[in-house]
Amino acid sequence: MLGFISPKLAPSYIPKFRSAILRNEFGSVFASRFGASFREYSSKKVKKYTKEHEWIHVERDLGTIGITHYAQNALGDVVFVEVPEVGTVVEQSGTCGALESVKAASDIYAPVSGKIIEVNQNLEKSPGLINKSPEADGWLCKIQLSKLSELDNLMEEHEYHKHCEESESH
Amino acid sequence: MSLFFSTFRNTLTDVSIPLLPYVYLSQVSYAKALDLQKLLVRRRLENKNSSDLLLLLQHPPTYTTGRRNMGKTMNEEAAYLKNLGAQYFETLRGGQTTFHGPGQLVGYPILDLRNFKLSVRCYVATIERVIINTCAAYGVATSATKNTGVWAGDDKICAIGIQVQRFVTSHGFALNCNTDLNWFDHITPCGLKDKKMTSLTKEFNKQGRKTTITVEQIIPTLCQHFGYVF
Repeated sequence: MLGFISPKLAPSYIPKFRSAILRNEFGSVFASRFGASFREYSSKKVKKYTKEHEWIHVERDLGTIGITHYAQNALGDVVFVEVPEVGTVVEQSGTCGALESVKAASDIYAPVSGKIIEVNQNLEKSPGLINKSPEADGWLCKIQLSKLSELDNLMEEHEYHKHCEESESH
Repeated sequence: MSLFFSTFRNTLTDVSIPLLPYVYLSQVSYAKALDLQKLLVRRRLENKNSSDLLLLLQHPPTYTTGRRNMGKTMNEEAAYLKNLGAQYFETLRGGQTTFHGPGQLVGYPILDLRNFKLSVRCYVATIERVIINTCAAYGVATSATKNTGVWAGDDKICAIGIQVQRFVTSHGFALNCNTDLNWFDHITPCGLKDKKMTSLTKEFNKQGRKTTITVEQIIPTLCQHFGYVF
């Protein structure tokens, strides 16, 4: 949402707006002026990552969760998927199911807090979808976020790729 | 309960690395070992300065099943197995139903995989390699196959089932030394109907060697090979 504000109409507003552009803080400028989070009304899609190699794709307050390509490669062939039941309330970084591969059950963690509203039913019969398409058809569950600000704690894509390079497994 | 505590290090490199301690607890009930693992994992997660650890022990006759069967195991099966004189537990590890008992070396490495830069897949393969090398030291040829675990020909000599929580491992491996293999007849071990179980002592007998190997005898060799790769 861009526009021009006449200095005559809002003389005290312009310096805040200019500095906000420099700091990339549109949300805080509009929040302080209109009393609401800019992000809540944004139609921008956001994709963030966790250190435990989960991803979340958020549109408004609805998120889709899965594991990354890096994670599926590290796990090996997934043979069993355990996801929370629909209606379960999860906390950020709390356990959110598990994946089994090569006789190892690895816990998955919720990237954000919220309520699970849908699970990927295809994974029961086709757990291998997670290996074939971890960031598309192999999505695990969908969540209604309760605290959008928690997204600030997660990594952007370039930060996540750097994290993977530093992890560098065998 | 006898307690041994020692340390070992990788002797193949000159690089100074933290020592990985192991502790042998002799025979411990499955419930107590489960509680101990939970405590050690929590300690490992909460305190980054705490050490990785290899727990070694034996269990009294116990059947366990893995995460896939949580809450789904028929009550009849659990009752049947308990009637045999064994205990029965559902666990959060990977893998399916197996048996633990006297004569079987059970190992629970409590490790932070990031310390070793190992993926889950590579960690399991490394455990298999340790067991294979240990068996080779006693003249028993074994291998890893597409079915996780360690095999002497078509027979399974060591089962593996792991849990990973925030990169920290628990549960582990179960190597049959001189286990009474009849206990396995009452289950489908690891969900594989056409496969049988074996032990190091049974493999010795197949080779015409009339020797038995106990858990206590194998521990130093296993720890040595564990230290070569971890």
